[in-house]
Amino acid sequence: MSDALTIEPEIASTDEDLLAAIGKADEVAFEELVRRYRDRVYRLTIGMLKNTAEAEEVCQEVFLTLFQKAYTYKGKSSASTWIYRVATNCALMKLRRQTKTPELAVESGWLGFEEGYRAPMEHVAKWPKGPEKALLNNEIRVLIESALTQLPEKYRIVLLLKDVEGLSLSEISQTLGLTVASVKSRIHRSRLYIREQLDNYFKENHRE
Amino acid sequence: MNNPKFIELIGDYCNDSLDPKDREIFARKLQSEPNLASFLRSYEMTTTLCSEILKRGIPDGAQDRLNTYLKSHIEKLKTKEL
Repeated sequence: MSDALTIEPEIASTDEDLLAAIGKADEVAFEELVRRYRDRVYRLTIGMLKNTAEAEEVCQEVFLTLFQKAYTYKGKSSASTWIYRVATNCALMKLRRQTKTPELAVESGWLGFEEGYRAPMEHVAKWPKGPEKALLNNEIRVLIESALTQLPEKYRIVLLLKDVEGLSLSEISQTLGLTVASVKSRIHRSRLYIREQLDNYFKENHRE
Repeated sequence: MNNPKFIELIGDYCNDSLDPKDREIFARKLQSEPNLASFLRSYEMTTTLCSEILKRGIPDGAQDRLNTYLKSHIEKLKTKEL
């Protein structure tokens, strides 16, 4: 993007250093940041929006925002938390501009286990034994992607940040402005919902 | 077995955020509760499957379009500043 080199990536290699350099309009640092985060930002946006064209559009918006707003980064959180916050905000803004698609009723459905949800431990299906990678067939892929789409956005985002991006509970809490307890509860409910969809699938498809 | 605190305990166990003493108690409980052990295994498998399936990179075409988009918009920003 630029031929003006103002940082040495080998020396200033932390994400925080990159943001500081980008804040001074350093395009080399920006290219490096894009290289480091393009997969992560894309995964998050496709996971939230479920539409490749929209995910791509938001991904572009995220990086342009990062370029324009990097000077506002003051190091109060880690650079990655700050970047995820920008990405999350852009994805949520996009979702809110769209017509609402039907989602699960959070407080009234089984996701509301605080109101009496009973985890179905007594009738767990026989899940296939062996490494999880052996289960990665197309039906399971479609099932998980579809279950994720049905989750309300506030549940979907925490699952993506934890189980896909590997953020810690504390980082998610900072990214989303939630308490750690809320983050834990939302992750758990999201996993329970997807687990139940898988359990139903195995009940139907893996009777022994 | 189904109360919210117990459910949270499962989450903490899977996240490895239980203190060692509670972890030991929970591990003993698992040995005497096959249904709970099956449930826990399915819960852990769900987490692994989600991670494997949803972890994907930006497609090459999208990556090229991202670079082109950023290049052109940053050029526009620079022109505005001048």
